Amino acid sequence: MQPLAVYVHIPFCTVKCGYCDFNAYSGMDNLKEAYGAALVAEVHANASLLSGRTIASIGFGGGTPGEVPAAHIGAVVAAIGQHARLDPAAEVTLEANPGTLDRPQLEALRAAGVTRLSIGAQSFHADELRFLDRIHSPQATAAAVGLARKAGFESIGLDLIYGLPGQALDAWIGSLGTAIGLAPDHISIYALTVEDGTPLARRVRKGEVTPLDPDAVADLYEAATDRLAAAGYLQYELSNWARPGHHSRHNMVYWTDGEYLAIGAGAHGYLGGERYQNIAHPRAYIAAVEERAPAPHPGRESAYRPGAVTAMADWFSLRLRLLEGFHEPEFEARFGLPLRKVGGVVLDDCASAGVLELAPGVRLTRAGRLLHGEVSARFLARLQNTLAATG
Amino acid sequence: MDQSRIRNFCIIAHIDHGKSTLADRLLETTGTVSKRDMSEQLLDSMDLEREKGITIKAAAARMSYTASDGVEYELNLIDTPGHVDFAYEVSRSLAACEGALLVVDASQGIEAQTLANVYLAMNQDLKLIPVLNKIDLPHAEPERVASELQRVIGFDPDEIILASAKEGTGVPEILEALVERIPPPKGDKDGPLRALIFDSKYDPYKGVVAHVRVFEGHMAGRKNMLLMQTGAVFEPLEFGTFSPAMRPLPALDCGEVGYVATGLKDVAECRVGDTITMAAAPAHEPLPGYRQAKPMVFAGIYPTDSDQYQELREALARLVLNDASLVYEPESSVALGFGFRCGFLGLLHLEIVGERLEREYGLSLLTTAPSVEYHVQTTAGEEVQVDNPADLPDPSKIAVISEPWAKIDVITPSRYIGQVMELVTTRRGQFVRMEFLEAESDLSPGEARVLLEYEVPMAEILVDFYDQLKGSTSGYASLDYQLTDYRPARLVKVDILVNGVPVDALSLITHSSNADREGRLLVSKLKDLIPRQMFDVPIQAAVGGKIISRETIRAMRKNVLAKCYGGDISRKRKLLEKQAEGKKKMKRVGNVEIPQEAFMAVLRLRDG
Ligand SMILES: Nc1nc2c(ncn2[C@@H]2O[C@H](COP(=O)(O)OP(=O)(O)O)[C@@H](O)[C@H]2O)c(=O)[nH]1
Ligand code: SF4
Ligand SMILES: [Mg+2]
Repeated sequence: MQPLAVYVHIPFCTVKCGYCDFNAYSGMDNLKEAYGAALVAEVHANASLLSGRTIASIGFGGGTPGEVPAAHIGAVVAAIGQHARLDPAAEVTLEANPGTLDRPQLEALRAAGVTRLSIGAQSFHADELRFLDRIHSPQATAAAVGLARKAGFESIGLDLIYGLPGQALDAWIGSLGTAIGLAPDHISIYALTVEDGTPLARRVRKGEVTPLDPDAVADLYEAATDRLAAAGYLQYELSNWARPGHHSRHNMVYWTDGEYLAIGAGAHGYLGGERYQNIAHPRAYIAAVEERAPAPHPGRESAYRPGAVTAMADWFSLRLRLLEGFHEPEFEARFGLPLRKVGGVVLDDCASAGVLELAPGVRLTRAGRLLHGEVSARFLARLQNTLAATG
Repeated sequence: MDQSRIRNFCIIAHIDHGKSTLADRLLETTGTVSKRDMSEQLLDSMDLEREKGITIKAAAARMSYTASDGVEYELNLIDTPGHVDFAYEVSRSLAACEGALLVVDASQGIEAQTLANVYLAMNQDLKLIPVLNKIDLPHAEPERVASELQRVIGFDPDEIILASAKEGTGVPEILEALVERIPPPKGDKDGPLRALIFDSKYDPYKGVVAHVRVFEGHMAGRKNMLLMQTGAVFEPLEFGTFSPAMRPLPALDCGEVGYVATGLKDVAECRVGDTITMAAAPAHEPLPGYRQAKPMVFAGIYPTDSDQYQELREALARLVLNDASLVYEPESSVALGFGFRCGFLGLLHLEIVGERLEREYGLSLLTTAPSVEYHVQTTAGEEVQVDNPADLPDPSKIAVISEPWAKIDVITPSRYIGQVMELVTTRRGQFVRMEFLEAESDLSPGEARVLLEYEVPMAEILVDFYDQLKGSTSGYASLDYQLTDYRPARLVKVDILVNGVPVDALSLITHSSNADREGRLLVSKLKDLIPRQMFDVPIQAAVGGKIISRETIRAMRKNVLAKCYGGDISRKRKLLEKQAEGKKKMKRVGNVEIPQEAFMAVLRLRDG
């Protein structure tokens, strides 16, 4: 049986950032204790799903997992270890906010079993951090990286956001350069996205904020690609770079059709061909777990089994996010249909446009990396037209 | 009914001047329809008619009215289509009458189309009864409009009836005037049958139902009848009249208006303007004025989804059962696949047909830019008719191209003469004459209404001329047009190449002096309408192989989701599905995906 990943969601933040559409809440600190207990209860309730499996990675995401007592994190890791075999080399990764990390907390997290930190640096310009509603300063990020090293984390990553309204190339490359200067093992860069329903979207609608032109965002990405390569980072996914051996094994699971168990409010899971989601609101989630445990999946809200079209489109689009792409026989082995037959003219069009490479493996070209959505949408449209009957 | 007690009339009015409201009032006052059954605008029965506020199909109603002389009269109202596209139908309706109510909005004055119909009615010797409607409106100017009517048409002041169809004012006077002023139908009731078809519609049980006016003889029995123009013979299934619903009667007498159910399966055999007679004892001559309605505007209609081709074919076949003026034949386009080339009476007709196909038959359609019909003489001495720019022969094979011209009448306050002149000039129009409809001395400067007559190529007024005319005259101008003749012109075909591939459905025919400008405009419109592709796409306009304009749609740079982790997969998939939906609506031409709007870009050349 293939190894299993576990995703644990921590929905608390000190301040809710204006661009954020994650399942995250500020001002709910009083729920943290009950929430920690619910996480552990949910793990125990899922004992039957865990037993006999090897856990290769655990990812704590949020929200700001670094904000809850390290003991809660430790308790979840320990609970998982009671029912499944925790691979001694397992990656236990945790997203942290530089504004809330201090030395004791970092040491406690390390002791709790966390091996890898992903620090939300976002920018090294104070004005940009203010625009993003981030509570930390550029100096805090630098300090956090130093403290984390001292605390003995095996891998430290920095996350950056680019493509802010009006952002100039210099400003962006400046932030990126500062990040590189801190010598993290891993760097993720994300284009700022205006998500529906966020305060940022409202400001855009009112005309207070003008998003950066997509072509300019593309320029920033291209420049970052060069800068990171020059600094010795290897790109392995559309938004992720790492020093050799430091790619996130947990995140790889999402892109390679691997299975993952969901723990916590609003967490998503993928098990036995089924995609499912837990109840999003922390209070409702806690209540559900208290009521339904020890039945399995006590926090679950909904589940569905992707049909053939959806499954193929997901597989194709997720694998293409990886720079190495995939080999055609892998597609056929998974779905019983040759990729060329399914993708037909779409593959040829994308190849002749210089966006996609078909041999020796299927993968996006450098020019194609920013057109992943276009390729995926075309592939999906073709599947819907040719295979719609099979769902 | 004794002929002397029959009065046949129609109502001539500009859109919104109150024709339908007055018709309703007449039906109500004569007790034809009880107040209880009165629904707004009884004669407009199609949803589309009510929505657009115009009558598309003719309708009729028989009313019984006891006049002040104590005698009971039969009044037959024939409601006519209210749009210049249906001018021929209107002329046949007028031909079925001895008189007409001329309804003019007292706050607006007479409009160009109304005037055109007035002249039509006068040519057919109809007795006109002028009615100034909407006198209840505070800004009504009955004296002014009355003097306009006197001046333009030559009415006596005391002929004019002041009315408010809304409030019922003047309706009794109108009814009396119908009886007193309109002559009864003449016609020999013992002569051989001659009945004029002024409209027809298809009924699944009764076949084609012809709306008729009996001019001579009478209609009764089941003996075979003959359509004198098409030669079709039928056994009549039923006669009757309208009240306004169909009401069967044993016979239709000389002078009466009603219907005959023919059992025929094809309206093309039973055309408006044809004459019905007895097959065994036919009349010597048909009634005058028949002509086969000729389509003036042509466009391709294609299913968006090629799977709907069969359904479209069936829907068109059903639609022409009721609309003999619609013609269609299969056509195929390199860009659009299989569809139909359709001919229409005008743009409104095109729009109505398109809407009915989509609404009544649930189709999703793509309509190409409309075109007129060109006459081409080839160097080999052949005459070819071209209604699709894509079919224009190679320039080297063309000796002469001729295009249709129209006479247009514009009525506008004189202060807009300059603007109208300018507009018509940019459309290659030629001034013919001008006539003041009112004495300038009686009014403040610029207010007197004037009739302007021009000659203009049909192609130039096809698409947006009317809107532009309205726009440049603050909505005051009204327009009437009539096809006159074909004239040679220096016309060229502008081809559009997308990524180097000519796209037949985008080409247009235009005057050589406009080719550069229109080619450039079309290219820049297309640049906006065609989304960026994965590679640079040149858009070119060419005339006879020579490129006259070029722009490039730059390759898209970025279409990617920043993040996609476990929780994003389901959520972000929706975004992809939306994009995929958009892609499915595009037409793939060569390796470029072109949205439907692009095929209509030719229509929007003048707005920018
Ligand atoms: N005030 C007023 N409004 C009227 C009168 N007659 C018709 N209308 C209104 O004018 C509009 C157009 O009338 P309608 O009968 O549909 O005009 P049609 O297009 O000529 O058939 C409608 O809103 C009517 O209610 C009238 O005598 N007085
Ligand atoms: S810290 Fe992260 S999860 Fe929390 S509100 Fe800001 S962006 Fe959202
Ligand atoms: Mg009306």
